[in-house]
Amino acid sequence: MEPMNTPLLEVSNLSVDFKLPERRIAHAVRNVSFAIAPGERVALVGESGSGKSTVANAAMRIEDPGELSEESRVVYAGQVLTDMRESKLRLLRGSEISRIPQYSNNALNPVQTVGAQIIEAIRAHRKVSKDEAHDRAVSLLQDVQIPNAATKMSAYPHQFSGGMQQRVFIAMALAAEPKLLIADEPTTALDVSVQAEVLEMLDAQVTARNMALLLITHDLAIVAGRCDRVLVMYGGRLVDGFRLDAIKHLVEEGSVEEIFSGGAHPYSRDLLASLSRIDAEADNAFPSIPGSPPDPAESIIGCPYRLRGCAFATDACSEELPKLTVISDSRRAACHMADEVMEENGEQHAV
Amino acid sequence: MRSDLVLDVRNLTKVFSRSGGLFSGPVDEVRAVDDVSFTIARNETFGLIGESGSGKTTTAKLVMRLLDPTSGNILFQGEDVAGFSGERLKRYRRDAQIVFQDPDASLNPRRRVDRQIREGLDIQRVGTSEERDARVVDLMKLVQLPPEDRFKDPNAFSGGQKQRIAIARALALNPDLLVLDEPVSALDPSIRNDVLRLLNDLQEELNLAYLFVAHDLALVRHFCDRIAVMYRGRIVEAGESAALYRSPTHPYTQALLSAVPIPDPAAEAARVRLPMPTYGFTRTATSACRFAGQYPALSGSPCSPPDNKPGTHVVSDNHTVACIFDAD
Repeated sequence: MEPMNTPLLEVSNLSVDFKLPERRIAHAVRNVSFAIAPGERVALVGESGSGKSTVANAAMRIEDPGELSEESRVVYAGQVLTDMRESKLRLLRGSEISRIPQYSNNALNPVQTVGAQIIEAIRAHRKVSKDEAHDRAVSLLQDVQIPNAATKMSAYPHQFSGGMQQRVFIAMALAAEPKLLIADEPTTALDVSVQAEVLEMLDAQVTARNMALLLITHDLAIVAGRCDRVLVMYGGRLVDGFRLDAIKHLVEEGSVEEIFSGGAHPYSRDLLASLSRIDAEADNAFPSIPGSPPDPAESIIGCPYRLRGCAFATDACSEELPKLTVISDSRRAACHMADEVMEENGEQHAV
Repeated sequence: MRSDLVLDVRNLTKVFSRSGGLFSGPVDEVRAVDDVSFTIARNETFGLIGESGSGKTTTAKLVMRLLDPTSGNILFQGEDVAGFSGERLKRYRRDAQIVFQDPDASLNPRRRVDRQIREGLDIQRVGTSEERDARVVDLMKLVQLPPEDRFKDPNAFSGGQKQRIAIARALALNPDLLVLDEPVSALDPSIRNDVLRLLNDLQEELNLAYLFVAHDLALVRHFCDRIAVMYRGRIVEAGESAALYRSPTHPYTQALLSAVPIPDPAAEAARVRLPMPTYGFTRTATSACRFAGQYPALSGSPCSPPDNKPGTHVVSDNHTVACIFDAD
């Protein structure tokens, strides 16, 4: 990775455990480290149970954050969040760091107007008059492209479509002008047409406000045009990380497709190969990844991905867990065979 | 008419009305499905696509006779489903089966999977108890699950495996038609394709007709033989997947397909998203184009008069569009 000048968020050695019945322990996140620079857009990608949401919840100490290990450290703009008092952390959450939850049609309060809920979000972090807060709420609704924003203030959530409700959440997340926006599957339950509109609006807001974005998703397709960097999680671990902007110059050379569909980790490669592309002619092969993701309560010796039919696995993979290693300026991967994987992708080592 | 036709839907219409109270009759009508026609043959996968509220799920429910149509016909192997009752309806409940989106919701978490798979056999009193158990073993093998696991509860299985169990249950009574309502939308991408391959294999082996309802437009292109695009209750475009995706002709289809993200930064950068129309339900029985008035460029055009129903134009072999303008 290229050296980053003072990261906005720095997560190092984050490990999170959850207690299960019968004294079993789920190691949901294991030794995850990454950083986000101011204004940078990073995607955290993985399947259900990969630990991607737990990373964000544990870093922000929201929902059920689980138990963090001693070594876990989360630093936001020079402040250590991991040993910050809850009262102080609460001030940061919402004002400096905001989160857009996954869309659900009952997340807004059904008996309170949309306007009142946004005003509440504004006044929770800023001492402004009610009139000021009202004006600000209207302008936020305009920012998230809700038509007739002023009249929509007095509407109730049930009068809004799913896409409109999600826009309200984005407006609330933007209320305190955060520097870091965490979007956890922000458009997963929405129609593809609505998803496209909401994501485009979100992109515009992130750019206009120069926010950093952590986009948590299982959908690699929405990452492509949107993020500077992709982090891939598998079985609670970060296994692959690559910059999309660093490979942009390769577009002219025609190799970007291989690189994006590659990744230096066989898992990223297989995951991308399993996606149906709307711009591809029909192909009924539907490749999948055999088996299921690892059980976070089980300890596995060696690389967990070898148990999913990894095409590159060797003896070393069943003996030793590969560490996340710097492969080039733009890429890290946790794979013993990263060189071979890249070679297979037709990629040059020195990017 | 093709002799291997399993389903022949003609001018199907479903109007939901909401009463204004005891004495005031219906005040509000929604034309959820409006004059929809399509056919599905044996060994064929027919995809219904559209946004929420387009009427695709209502169409699936009508086909399953979970709802009764307001007008139009659903012919199953030549016979009108609306006329079925008693023994004939019971037989239709064997011949047409449905698989839902979320196996966690469609399977009973507290009931052993063998009991759930054989439930239909038990209700229809097919064979002896031993024969039914043997059938469950066969079905487990058919969906590529270890038969010895049949005595476990659903919770012992992963999401993809649970959906296989739901498919096994749907196949228990040897149906001819399987309605697949978003069958892989709740599954992770790495597991999703497993289920799709299984469905492809089963279709070939058992000669099944599939009605596939989905909103993942990239997947539909690869999985379905033919597709119909629904907008506000009507089919606006239909055809063989390859032809329809290569040259979408209706302005709505074009907008819908342009919204689908592509997992490739270069292709994504080049993608031009067309504006989507505003959405709403159609409440009156007008035959006017559902799309008219959506774009300023089309206002005042011949699309607007209420009695001017868009005719069906042939774009190419096996590809039609419901638009007043010729495909060219």
